[in-house]
Amino acid sequence: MTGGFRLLSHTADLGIESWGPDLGGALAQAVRAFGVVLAGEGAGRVAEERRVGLTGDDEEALLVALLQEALYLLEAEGWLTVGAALSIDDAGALTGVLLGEPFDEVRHAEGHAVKAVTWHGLLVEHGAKGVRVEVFLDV
Amino acid sequence: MKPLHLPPSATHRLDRWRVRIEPIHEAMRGPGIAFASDRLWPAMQADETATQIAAVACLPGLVGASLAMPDAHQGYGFPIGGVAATDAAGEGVISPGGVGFDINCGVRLLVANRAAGKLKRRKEALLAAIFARVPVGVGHGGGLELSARDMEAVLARGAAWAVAQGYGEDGDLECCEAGGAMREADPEHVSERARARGASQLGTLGSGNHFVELQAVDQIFDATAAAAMGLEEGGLTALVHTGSRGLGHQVCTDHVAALQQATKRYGFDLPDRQLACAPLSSPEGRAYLGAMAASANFAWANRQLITHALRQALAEVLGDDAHFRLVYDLAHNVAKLERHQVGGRERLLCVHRKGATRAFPAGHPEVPERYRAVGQPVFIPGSMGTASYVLVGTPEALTETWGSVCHGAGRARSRTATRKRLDARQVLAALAAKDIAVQAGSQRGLVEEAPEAYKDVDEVVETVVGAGLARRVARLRPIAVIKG
Repeated sequence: MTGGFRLLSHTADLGIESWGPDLGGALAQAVRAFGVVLAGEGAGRVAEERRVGLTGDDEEALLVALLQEALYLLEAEGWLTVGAALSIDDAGALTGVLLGEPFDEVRHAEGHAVKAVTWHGLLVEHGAKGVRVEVFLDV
Repeated sequence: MKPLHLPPSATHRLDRWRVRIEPIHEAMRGPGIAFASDRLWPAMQADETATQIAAVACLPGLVGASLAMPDAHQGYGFPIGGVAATDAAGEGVISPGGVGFDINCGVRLLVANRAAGKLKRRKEALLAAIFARVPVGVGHGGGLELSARDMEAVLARGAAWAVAQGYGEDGDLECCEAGGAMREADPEHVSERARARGASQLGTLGSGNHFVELQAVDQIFDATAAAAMGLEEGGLTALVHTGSRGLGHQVCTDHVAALQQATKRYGFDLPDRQLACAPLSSPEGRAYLGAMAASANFAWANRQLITHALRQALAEVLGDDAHFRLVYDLAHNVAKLERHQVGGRERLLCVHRKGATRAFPAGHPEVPERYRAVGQPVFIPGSMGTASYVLVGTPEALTETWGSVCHGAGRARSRTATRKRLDARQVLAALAAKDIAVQAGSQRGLVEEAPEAYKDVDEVVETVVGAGLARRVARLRPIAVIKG
């Protein structure tokens, strides 16, 4: 399965569905989707990278923690995440790099102000062809 | 527990304004009651609202019914527009999902000592003066930079801190719910991440459905109540809608994550992880209550700073003697410890209002003295370009909904669907046709907030009034709006 994502409709908010050949790939696509939500389609660029290391009680919790990390970097440090290269070890710990750039209030003006990553409707699904995830954002 | 499924047979209409959801699932600790007319109920069935009302009824220590207001729509865990009370003195829980990520998102109404007609050609100038002073939109910061010490004071004292710093005046605090600060606040449980997110956001509007709207008082329904509030036909008002910004969002995030394990440890099996909760008597429950209250205080300070900016803008454009007075300020995402009559005796309840507004009646001790004879003011914003309403609470609301009513028109269509049907040019043209001036942080945001995306506020208000939960006081017509 090659990776990809699409944005899902929700009455007041937004959802992300992403997929990849493995969990790391699916989560990396979720980060790409999140970048589109935060900055607008095609508005984000890869200029820098930051190392990331996260754990979670389960895979759903890891998904929430990853996107929350990207949200924190934006709001607290003004850094926009637009992609990632990730791997998850046998113990369920995530490591890798987040790719992005400093937030630009002009270029990224059409992005959504995301309040948080919700636990509602969380899905991490392992199939024969790869992994699919779903997550909803409070906008 | 898997998500609940609600068959049509589980619901039946009680009367013109109320639909009952039977506690058909073993996990439900009470029924659901949706305050919804025939026109509003189908949408609640079509999205997950009705199912979420049932899910909320599974909360441990639920007292009475899981409630939904007429503007209710699908949320996450709780529906937006949901109200649920738990037994605060017993085994009742507190759930961050019942408050929402934007803790103390709320509204405040200001009334000017000028008629709206006096603005005329200076309407755009006033809008521009406000837009220059109130940061809006995506990104971080732009607001007052808070030192660690100031942040601690804001979390503890809320609007009182802002007034003491010179961002308010005598009389402002009396006209805030809870006096602009919840005494349960415990800043110790607000994380460093939350403080970092909020450190430069005080005095900012945010984005999404947050706004500052200038209005003309269009119609008076209750002359006595309107007079108490200082509202007269043709008067100029301003409605501010925003909350606790990134600080509150992070607090909810932190505590929902922490409560995932607590929920399991206490043996709670709930149909949605966003309903994670803990007994109010537990360390986790008390920690969230303290952090939530501190975040609520941040939001009140935020709206107080924005009020100061509006006062400055008004004086700049209309002269130094032009002034905005605060009518009232209300939270619509909060959990409050309140005493209510249940089965003939007084009980301490934790009332969760998620996209719902407190609406206490005349005579209630928590209603400010200036409004005690008429009832607590309630503000129901319409969508961009439609009317807003001023109401007062009733004794019936206290009995049926723990003194709660709706908080707005309620969203009817997703952001994605709205963008497919409309573009910014159409939205701006429609507003211009009504002579409504607009400043928006983004064109995308403007489209997503178009009136077509929302329910009919007249129908929503008709339902709360028809059900006896509130009385109309005035209708406000928009004349200018700033959207994030």
